[in-house]
Parts: sequence; C-alpha cells; structure tokens
Amino acid sequence: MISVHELRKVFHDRKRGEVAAVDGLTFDAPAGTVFGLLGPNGAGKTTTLRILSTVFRPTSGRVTVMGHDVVREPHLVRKAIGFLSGDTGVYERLTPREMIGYFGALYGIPPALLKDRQDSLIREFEMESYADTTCGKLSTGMKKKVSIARALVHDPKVIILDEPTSGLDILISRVLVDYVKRAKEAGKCVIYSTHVMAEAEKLCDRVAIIADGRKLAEGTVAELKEQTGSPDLEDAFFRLFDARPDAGKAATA
Amino acid sequence: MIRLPNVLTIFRKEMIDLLRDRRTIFGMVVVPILIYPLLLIMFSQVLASQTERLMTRKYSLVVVGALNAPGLVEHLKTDDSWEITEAAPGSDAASSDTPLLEGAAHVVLVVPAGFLETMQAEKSATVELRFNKAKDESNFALHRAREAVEDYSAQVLRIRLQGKPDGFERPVVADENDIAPPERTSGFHLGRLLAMLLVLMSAVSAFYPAIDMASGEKERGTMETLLVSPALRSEIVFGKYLAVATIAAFTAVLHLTSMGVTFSYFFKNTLGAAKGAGLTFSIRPSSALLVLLPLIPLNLLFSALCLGLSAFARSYKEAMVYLTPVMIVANVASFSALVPGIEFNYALALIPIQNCAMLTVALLSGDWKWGHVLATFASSSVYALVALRWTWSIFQREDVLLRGGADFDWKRWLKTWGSARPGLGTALVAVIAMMALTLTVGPTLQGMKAHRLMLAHQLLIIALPAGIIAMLASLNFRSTFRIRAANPVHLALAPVIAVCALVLLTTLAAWLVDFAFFKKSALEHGEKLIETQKALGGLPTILVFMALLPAVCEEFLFRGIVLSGLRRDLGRWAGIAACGAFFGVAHQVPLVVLIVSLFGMILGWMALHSGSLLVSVVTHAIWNASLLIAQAGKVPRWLLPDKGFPAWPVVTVAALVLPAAIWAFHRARGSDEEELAGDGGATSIS
Repeated sequence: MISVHELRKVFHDRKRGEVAAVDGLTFDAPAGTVFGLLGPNGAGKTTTLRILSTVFRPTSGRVTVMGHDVVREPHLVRKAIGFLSGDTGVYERLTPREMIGYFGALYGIPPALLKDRQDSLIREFEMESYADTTCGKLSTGMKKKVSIARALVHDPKVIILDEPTSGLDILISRVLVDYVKRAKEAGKCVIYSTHVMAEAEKLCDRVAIIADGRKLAEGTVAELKEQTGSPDLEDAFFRLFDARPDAGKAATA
Repeated sequence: MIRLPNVLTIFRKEMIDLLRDRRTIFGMVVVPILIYPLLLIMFSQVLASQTERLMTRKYSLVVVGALNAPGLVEHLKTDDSWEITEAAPGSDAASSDTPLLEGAAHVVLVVPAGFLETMQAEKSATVELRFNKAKDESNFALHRAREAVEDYSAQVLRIRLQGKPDGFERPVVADENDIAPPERTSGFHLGRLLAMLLVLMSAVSAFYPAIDMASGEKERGTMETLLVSPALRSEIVFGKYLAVATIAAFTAVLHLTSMGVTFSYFFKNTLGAAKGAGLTFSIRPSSALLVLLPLIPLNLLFSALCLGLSAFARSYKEAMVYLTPVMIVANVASFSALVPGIEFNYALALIPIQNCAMLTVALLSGDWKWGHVLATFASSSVYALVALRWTWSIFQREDVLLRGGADFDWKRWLKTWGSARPGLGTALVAVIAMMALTLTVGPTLQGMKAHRLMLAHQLLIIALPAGIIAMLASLNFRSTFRIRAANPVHLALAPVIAVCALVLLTTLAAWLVDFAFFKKSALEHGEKLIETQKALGGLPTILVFMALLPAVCEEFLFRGIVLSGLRRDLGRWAGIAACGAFFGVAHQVPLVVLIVSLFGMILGWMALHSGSLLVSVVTHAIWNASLLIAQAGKVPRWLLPDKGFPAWPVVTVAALVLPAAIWAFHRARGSDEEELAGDGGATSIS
C-alpha cells in the first residue's frame, strides 16, 4: 500500500549548509499491517511522514501511497490518507463535533453521512461529555483525541501517525492502541512512528529502525531481536544504533 | 480549478472561528460603535471649555507711547477685559518683548510719535501690535486688540464722514453668490475627510482577521492539518480571503455608519447655531450609498494584501511587523485625498488605494463618471488578484509554511545581493511608483525651466524609481536592464525599424485623429510639446533633451525592469503586450496611448530578441528624433505634404521595408537564449 524507494530530502540550513534529513530510505508497508518507524529525535521520522502526506516534496526518490505518486498525484494521496502530525493543534474556538465536521466536509463526505460519522467517532473515542465544548477549554489528552478523530473522519485506508501517544496518559493511549489494532484487522495500513520501544513491540508487525535519515535494519520484532541477539526491542535498538556505520561522526540523540 | 463547496466550507469555518473570538467582536462591533461618540464627547468638551476660557479671560496689554494717542487708549479702557499697563514714556517698542516672551504680557500696542497729528490731518496712521504667536493666549489677545483698533478706526471714520451720504466710503461692493447646491459644497469638503477615513478604516479592518487566519493558523499548529486535507491551496486561499473581506467590509461599514451618525448628530446639536453662517452638513442618501462603492475595491485589495503578508509571516508578531508598512502606506495614500486640485482621470484610476480615495472625493462632490468607477474597480481587482496569486504561491512553499523559515540572514543577503530576477510584482511596483510620482511630484516640477524640467522629470520620476526598486529587490542589474553588447546587425536595423514604424504609426494616427474622441486631447498634447521645444532653444539641444534623454530613461524603466518582470511571469508575448500597454498608458493622452503602445510592443520585442537595452534605446531615440525633426520643418516638403503627415509613396515604402527589416532583425542572433537559460536558477522576487 505504501512504497518508499530511495527517498532523499535535503534542507538548506544556514549554519550547516545542505542537510539530508532523509538519505536513501526504502521500505514497503502492505495493507493489513502496522509498520513502525523507530528512531531517536532527528532521525528523519517526521520528515518521512510529511513526505508521505504530501506536505513536503521529496528531493529525490519515489514515494507512492496506494499506487499514487506523492509528487504527481498529491490530491489522490491526500484523499487516501489520515494523517496525525506530531505537533498538530486544534481550532480552539470550534467544538470537537465541528472540527470533525469541518474536515469531513473538506473530504467531500455528504452531510447526512457526515453526521453519522461524527456521532460514531465521538462514541468510539469517548468524547460524548465534551463534544460540544469549544476545544480551547479541553485538556491536552482530550485535544489529542479530537485530532485523532479528525484524522480518521473519512475512514482512510492508510493511517499515518507521528508519535501519537507522546504526552498522553495510559488511558487515552489505550484507546488509540485499541483503535490501531482494529484498523489493522480491517485491512488498513498504519504507519506508526515512535521512540517508545515497548509500544512498538506490542503493536507493530514490521519495524524499520532509522537514524540520521538512513535505515539501520528492518523486519518483524522477532527477526530484529534474533538478528541482534537481544532479549527485547529496546536492547536491539541500542545495539543497532551503536553499530551504525558513521557512529563516530554525528551524535544525533 | 476551484471547487466552490470547499471554498464555502472553509469560508464558513473561518467565519464561525472568527466570530467566536472576543477580539474580533471587540474590534468589529464594539470599537466602531463606541469610539466616535466617545472621542467626540471628549474632544468637544475639552475644546469648548478651553476655548471658552481663552475667549472670556482678561488679557494684559502694554501700551508703548500711550501719550501719543490718548483717544485710542481711552477707547481701550472702556473694555474692562483688558489689564492695561502703560510703558514709561520714552521707552522703545522692543522694551516690552521680554514680558511678551515670558507670558507676563499678552499683546503690546506701540503708538508712534506724531499719531495725533496724522489723525488731525485726516490721514492714515499705523500702530504696531506686537505679539507672540507661539502662545495661544497671545493669539487670542491679538485678535481682541485688532478688533479694538478696528473699532476705534471705525469711530474716527464716522467722524470724518460726517455730512457725507451713506456708503460714501465703499463706492463699489461685490456681492458673491455660490450657486453650487449645498450638498455639493459640503460634499466637497466632507468628501476629502471621508475619503481619508474610508481608506484608513478599510486597511485597519482587514488587519486582524488576516493575521488570525494565516499566521494564527500556523502558530496554532493547524496549518499542516489543513494542507494535508484534500482542499486545494487555491480553495484555502479563496475561502480565507472571502472571510477576511467579509469581516473587513462589515467592520468598515460599521465604522463609517457610526462616524456618520455621530458627526451628523454633533453638527445638528452643537453647531446648530453655525448653520445660519452657511455651514451645513448634508449629503443626499444616494451620495451616502455611493461612498460605499470605493469601499469595495479598497476592501478587496487590503484583504488580499494583508492575507498574503500574514501567510508570509511565521508568527502573529511577525505578521504585525509586516502589516505595519501597509498601514503607513494607507495613511499616506489617504492624505492625498486632502491635496487640493487633483482631478480624477484614468491614469489616476491605475494607482492603487489613491484611486479609491480620490474617487470618494469625486463621488461626494457629484463630479464623476461611471467610467472612473469602472476603471478604479478594474485596476483594484487586478491588484487584488496579483496579491492573491502571491498568497497562493506562499501556500505552495513548504519552507514558509512549515519549517518556520529562517531568520533574515544579512550575510547571505549581502552575498547573493544583485542576483535576483524581477517578477510581475516588481514590474507592477515600478509602474505604480512612476505613475504615482508623475501625479504627485509631476505638477510641482511644472514651474521649472524647460531643461531642468526635462532632466528632473526623466531622472527623478522615470529612471530613479526603477533603479531604487532594483536595488531594494536585490535584482541582477545586468540581466534586468539588459546591459549587454548588441549585435551590430541589430544596431544597424534599429534606425530603419524606428523610421518605418514612425511613418506607419503616424499615418494610423492621422487617420484616427479625425475621430472627435482623439482630436482635442491630441492637439493640446502637440501644443504642449511645441512649447517645450521653443523653451529649449536650438535643434541640437532639443534632440538631446527630448529625444536622447527620454529614450535612455524610459527604456531603462520599461524595457528594463518592467519588461523583465512581466516576461518572467506572463510569458514572452503577454509580457511584451503588457509592457507596451503600460508604456502607452504612461503617456496619458488617448491617441498617443494607442500609438505609443504599439511602438512599445515593437520595442519590447526588439529588446527581448536582441537581449540588449542599447538596441531599444537607439530605436526609441531615432523615433523621437525623427518626430522632432519633422515637427521642426526640417524635412523636405514632398515627404510630408499633408499637415505634417507622410505622403502615400513614403507610407508604401515603409510598409514594404518594415516587415523586411523585422525579418532580418529576427534572423540575426541576439543574446536572448542566454537569458532564457538563466531563468530557472535564480530566485524570484514577485
């Protein structure tokens, strides 16, 4: 469903000059899987996801979502994906119901259907008690739920989640994790970026470990543990990270 | 492709979002309704009490030489609002200046020796009133003293006139009658004030919603989410634009209504007494509605401009900084409404903001045409569209939208200075600057001698702004102004093309001038040119100042920065056409506009194809020179038999030679390809 081939994204930085945030990344995520992108801050996770969601254009390489090229057919890609960015915000003066309704309308959902969709999302994420309070008055966790519901309003086939559980308590995290499991069973493709290893271990079918914009390893959690001879994913990550080719040059973490 | 449902969805959401914001409601409703009554109450209270105090208080008057005019002093003493001090006999006028400066005395009356004798001889005597203009009290005291002296003078006159019939001292009296309907005169004065406020209000009203909708959205972290939705960038821009324009229009109308109601109430009640003196405040309801017309283009333009700048900014704070110059420009442009003597014309209609201010003045004074309204609307809409296109291009830039952009980097700017290429925006700014200067600075140059006038006009109004804009925009001078060596073949063909084009186009003009629409203005224009020629003197001087100088300066502007900018964004042919049209319009006179536009397009093509400004300068100079030589009568009679227009054989030859010359010009290689190749790499400043 998602195919990333030799992806490269270069930013121009005043102090450092040309900086490759993503440098030759390749992976495939088929339908019905949860694909984890694991890596420290600054590894290129967010940049990759932004390219997948058409916000950034790749410098080179080829990225397709459900067969649509992100550069040539961005409008088709946007329709197909639900994207939750890491630092996403909510419209403080709209209510959760209006937020969901607004994006639903932009996705072209007919009004009658949209109403049902709003109701079911509010129920699913347990937002009934504050569905009609303006978002400015909600807590961080509540806002995150609104954002998640908003990203899923058009029932996308591909769901891209950028560190979705950061800053959330375990109760809300559980709601999200449960949703991801159900989405996977429904045959959707979920791309999940995180730096919490335990979460990835529990949730992801396949994992790619990346650092400095490059892939260090890819496989199922079991494969990675076996490959590195580690008892858990966290240990496997550290071994891969310390053994990376240019470990001495750039200290990113 | 814009899908209306998406635009409306975005518009609706932005409206709900804004209307729930307490700051919007405060700025949109509370401020307009409350500010004018409050200001007026405060202002009139303070003014009334202060004026009252100054009018009724006692003032101290020092009389120097009181003994010289006992009658006058006696007369002054009958008014007990004076505190009169008589200076010691023999003291001079300047002796009382110190108390005057310090405020101890308010006005000094100096009576010269011999005053009495002059009075007795029934002649006119002069007394001196010394006062201190820097003090309000002294001004009021002067006013009172002047009245007292005039009063005394009238008394003496009555005595002198004893036995003469009434009206003896005023043999002829002129009775002045204003036939303008009262609403026109009041509309005229009121219109200027209103026009100023209209511009300011339109700008202020768009300020907040624009900031909130673009930089606010970035700051809150919702921009990325919106961009990932299937809504197109153009739909987002239009939806937001509609919302800004709606809120801004509502606010501006409310401001004006509140202001109108407050002022009319104030005039009716407080100044009711003044009505008898001819001060009326009456606009017909139809005029009041007409005033709302210029509000529409103003609103469209300011909303687009504010939205674009706000999208460009990274944060609320930065947006404020970028929008401040817009407010300053609006302020300055609005003051132009107060400048007397500017008549509305089609050239003025092309200057943004100012056109709306002047249109308001024209509408309220009743002296306007629908053509003016249409031209103002059309030009403002074009500018608004350009601003929107710019906004849209910002929404395409991932660095501006998401990465937070970089802080302004002086080192990089200096290093890359002079490498940018002009775009549509740069070209428009250059043309507008030239037009605005022509209309504002132009008239003040008129008093100059012919040499200086031509120099000042060409250098200050035409060449200098283009140079300054190019420097500020950090343009590459070489490529922008086509400073390249010319192909000798092109240079050789330039005079041929110039002369043939002149022959053909003047023939066209000769045929068109019979239409009444063109005739009058064209003749007046011709007369003005001939006057300038006479003032310049001999033919060589005329050729330098009226052929070479304008050719260099006008080519620098039009075939330099304007053509480069237009061509980059509009493409080759549309760029040439638009540049020619601007070049024509700058000449203002209808017939001349047409002819010069066509010639401008030829020049544009030549400049682009040859890649050298020298070619178009030479062509332009030869055209000017041939025209001047023909006007000076230095051309054989058989060439120009008919009222100075070319003979048919000449026209036929020109018609045959011109296509051949253009073909040869086209065949000869220019350095245009080089320019085309360079287009992709550099940054645009559109």
